[in-house]
Amino acid sequence: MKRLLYIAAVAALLAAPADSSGAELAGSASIGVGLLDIDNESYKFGEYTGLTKDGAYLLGSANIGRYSGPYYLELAARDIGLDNRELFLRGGQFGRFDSFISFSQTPRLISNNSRTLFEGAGSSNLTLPATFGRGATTTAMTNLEENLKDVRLELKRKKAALGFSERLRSGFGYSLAVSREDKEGLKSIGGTVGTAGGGGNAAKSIILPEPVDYRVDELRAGLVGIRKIRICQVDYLLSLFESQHRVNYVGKRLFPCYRDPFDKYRFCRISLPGQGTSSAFRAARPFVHPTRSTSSPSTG
Amino acid sequence: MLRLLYVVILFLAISPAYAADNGGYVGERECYACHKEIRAEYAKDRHGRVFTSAPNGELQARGCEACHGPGAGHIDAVDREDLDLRIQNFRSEKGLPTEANARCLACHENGERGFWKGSRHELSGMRCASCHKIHAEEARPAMEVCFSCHQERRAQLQRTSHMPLREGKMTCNNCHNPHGGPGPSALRQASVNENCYACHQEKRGPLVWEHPPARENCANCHDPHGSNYESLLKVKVPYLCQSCHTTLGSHPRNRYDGANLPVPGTPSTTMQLAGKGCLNCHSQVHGSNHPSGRRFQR
Repeated sequence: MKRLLYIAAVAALLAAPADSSGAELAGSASIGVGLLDIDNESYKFGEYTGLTKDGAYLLGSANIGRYSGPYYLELAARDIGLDNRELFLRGGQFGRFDSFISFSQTPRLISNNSRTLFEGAGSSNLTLPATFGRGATTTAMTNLEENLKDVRLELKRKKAALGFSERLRSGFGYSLAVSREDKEGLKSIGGTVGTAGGGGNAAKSIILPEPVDYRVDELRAGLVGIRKIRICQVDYLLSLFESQHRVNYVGKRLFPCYRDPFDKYRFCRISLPGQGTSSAFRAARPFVHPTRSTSSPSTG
Repeated sequence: MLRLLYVVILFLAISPAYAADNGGYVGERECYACHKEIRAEYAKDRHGRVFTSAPNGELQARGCEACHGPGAGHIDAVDREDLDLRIQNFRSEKGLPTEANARCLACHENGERGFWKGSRHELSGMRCASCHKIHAEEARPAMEVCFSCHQERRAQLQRTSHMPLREGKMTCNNCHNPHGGPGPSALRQASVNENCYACHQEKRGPLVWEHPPARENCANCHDPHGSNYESLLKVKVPYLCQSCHTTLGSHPRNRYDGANLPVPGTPSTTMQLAGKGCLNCHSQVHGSNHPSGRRFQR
């Protein structure tokens, strides 16, 4: 998908418009190499850039536009060689219509020095090592230290979107945009072992690697009407959220499980975000200030 | 020579009348006679491209005068060396902001600008030109424009827990519409939570068990502009939780404070002060879908 977008962006920019007379190419582009030399790998240093290891990184960015009268085709690219790269291509006619297609990815590095007892980090079924000796307390777990494994907590978002909007001469306008976002990786979550009500010292907890594998599909539509100073705006949002970690365990869904290392219960379960559909409708009618009315019913 | 003088006098007599017939509009050529430096910029900016090649209506076809107003009075004022140059100069602070803004809104009061009237920026007397440089080919970076007034937000973003604005993955405009919005603080959505759910959809639900303050407003616990506590929290846990959950209820029976903090070599006897604090057990603090998740433990 990403490669396809790059090719489409470059091809669209280089392709001559039907009437290329007077077309003008403007903007700037840069490409280079960045060297990184850090004493220790630190996820905080590269929290949103993914820069964690020594070495050379390709750095590329562009802000180029092709203009022909009121028509435009613009390409914006940032950090092409890094994990937080993004690409934005838009074209249209100033003041009349606009279309865009975009791709963006964002890392979120949380921790590179966490350890977990469990096997199966990244899945929704966490098991104890075969040789692990369970105990009522961590002191009683004789081989806890040797069974701890490194786990990297990091998330990555990838989002692709495209949209179109047009303003009609009659004063009406509309817009439509669709997007798909994937978010996957690992983060941490507290898992309680004990009674549902706390139970004083009876309750124990352990920090678990939480699997994240979300997909969000969204559709946004808008309609605006303008008559002199009167404006009426209607927006609609449909958001479909889906978590891939849905476990069919003992006939129950949505509840991933983990083995209890405290020798109390065989399994514990915890809920993760399941799936949700949200539909929101908003109608707004701004008047001459300071009065306005907004209504936004939503269902989910 | 005398004939030439007659012609000049006749021209001078007729031209104001001609301009008056046109509502005082004189045409772009008259503007460029003096403002040569603008011509190149104007040809490359968005207004220039539209107004000269595909104007949307009679007003836009007037070029410079579509925004700056009729130029006949301005030419007279310049000739007379008046202090009042009788032209809409967007960089000048003279005149009411509403008058200057009205010229922009004549075309732009739609879409993103639909909530301008009554917005915080409009009511505080800001002009469109306070943020926008009309003849510039490239816009100023959006965050720099915002930070020129909202310096405290620039400082907040330097805190250890922050959204990726410093890294260039977001701008203020991702959450706020500086032209006003349907919700508070010029947010793009009708409420704080709806704004947050635009990226954090997993928090939207629906949920079997809801945590009321989280459902009411994410900003009850989080400071979206930056914090020195994990996850943009306003206060470190368990103190954050204890700001509502006092010792009056059944749990917690005691207040967790610095007395039980771990010291080097000795773990804390109170697990609510270690790791994720209260969230060690109440991990589903945003709400739970587990049938027995009433206390947000599962």
